[in-house]
Amino acid sequence: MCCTLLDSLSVCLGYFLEGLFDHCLGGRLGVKIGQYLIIIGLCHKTMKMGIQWTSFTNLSKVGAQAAKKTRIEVETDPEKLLKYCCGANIYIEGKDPELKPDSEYPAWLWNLRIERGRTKLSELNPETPAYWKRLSRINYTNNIRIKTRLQRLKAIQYPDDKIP
Amino acid sequence: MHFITSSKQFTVPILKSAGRLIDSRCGISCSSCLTGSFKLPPNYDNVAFPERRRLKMIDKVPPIDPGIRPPKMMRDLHQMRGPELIQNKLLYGNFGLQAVTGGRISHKDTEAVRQIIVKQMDERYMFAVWRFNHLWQAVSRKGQGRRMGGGKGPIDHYVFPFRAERVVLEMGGRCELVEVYDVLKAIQKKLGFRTRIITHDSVRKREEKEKWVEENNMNPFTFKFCVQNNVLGCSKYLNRYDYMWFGKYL
Repeated sequence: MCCTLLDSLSVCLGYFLEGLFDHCLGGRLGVKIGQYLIIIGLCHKTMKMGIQWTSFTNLSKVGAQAAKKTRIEVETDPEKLLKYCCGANIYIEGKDPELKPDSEYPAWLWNLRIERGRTKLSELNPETPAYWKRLSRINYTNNIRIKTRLQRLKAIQYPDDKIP
Repeated sequence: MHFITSSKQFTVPILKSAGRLIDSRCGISCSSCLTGSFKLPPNYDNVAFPERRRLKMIDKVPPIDPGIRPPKMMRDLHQMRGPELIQNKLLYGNFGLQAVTGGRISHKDTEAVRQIIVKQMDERYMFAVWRFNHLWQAVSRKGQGRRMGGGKGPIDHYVFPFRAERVVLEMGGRCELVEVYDVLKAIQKKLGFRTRIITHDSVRKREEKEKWVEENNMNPFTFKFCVQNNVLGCSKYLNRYDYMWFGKYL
């Protein structure tokens, strides 16, 4: 599971993004995309794969003492990019794996969404449950934001009403 | 999940099973059907923030050319008479404060408003803008205890005069009316003249309502009728501004 996911991810990244597998954190693997770091890890309790996005800058502060990070330059040579999965080799030894012809890879790989961020609500189909789930989620988060803001406002405007 | 905002509300039957929301229209029997009332989220794609999100500090004295003695001005009451015809719509944000009558803004007012905005506005989502640049009219006063006479007194302070229905302040950004309403309410209390909180919708509705009332008014005994026909000799008590705006503006 881990290997296939990583493989497919790296292939995508090699094609479209400046993906670099240069982070190996305690049994977890990291993929760097821009200033973000996706951590692909295994939860030991549930034995499920999880993907986590963290800011790259935040993480570097924590892991600064352990090892000094080296920034690998992004491969820009088009011939190399077409031939190898650049950045997929996470070890010091060895080379980047060679890319197979397109037919070797599953069809779903070519239909993966590569835009950053969630799909917009306007792009979802209202006939699907995903749309309504998303809508309820947006309502929930918005309501919480407004509620906290109003509470803060009230605390400023009526400081005497504060419950001790 | 109901709010004051005037956005589209709709209800959908939703089936909740195994921690997932499923639309009841997908054919599963509706034994435990839930109805949720959701509001479509407002679209913030076209929100443009100004360079400075906080209110600009307005100087006590307007920029005057050096070498020229600041001129003493007349009272110019016509600057506060009648309706404002140009600056009466929202330009930058979605919410604003509109003056109900004519009046003047002084430096004291602007500072009080600015302090409220600095304290209570969330700069990450919102912004506030003045709809005037600087105070320009000089107001002269004679010192306390001075005898009358001896010409016009020195300049005491500067003000900004405006007519009725002028938008004085605007707020906007990625926020809804409920979030801004309390701030605007607090500002209203501080200002020395009557204002109303407006949105794009409320301005339009007000215009429509005024038009509708004028067209469908069945009572002929209006102020306009009285003035034009000199009912009970009322012209004795009227001035020329009553003939201009028929009691709507001073």
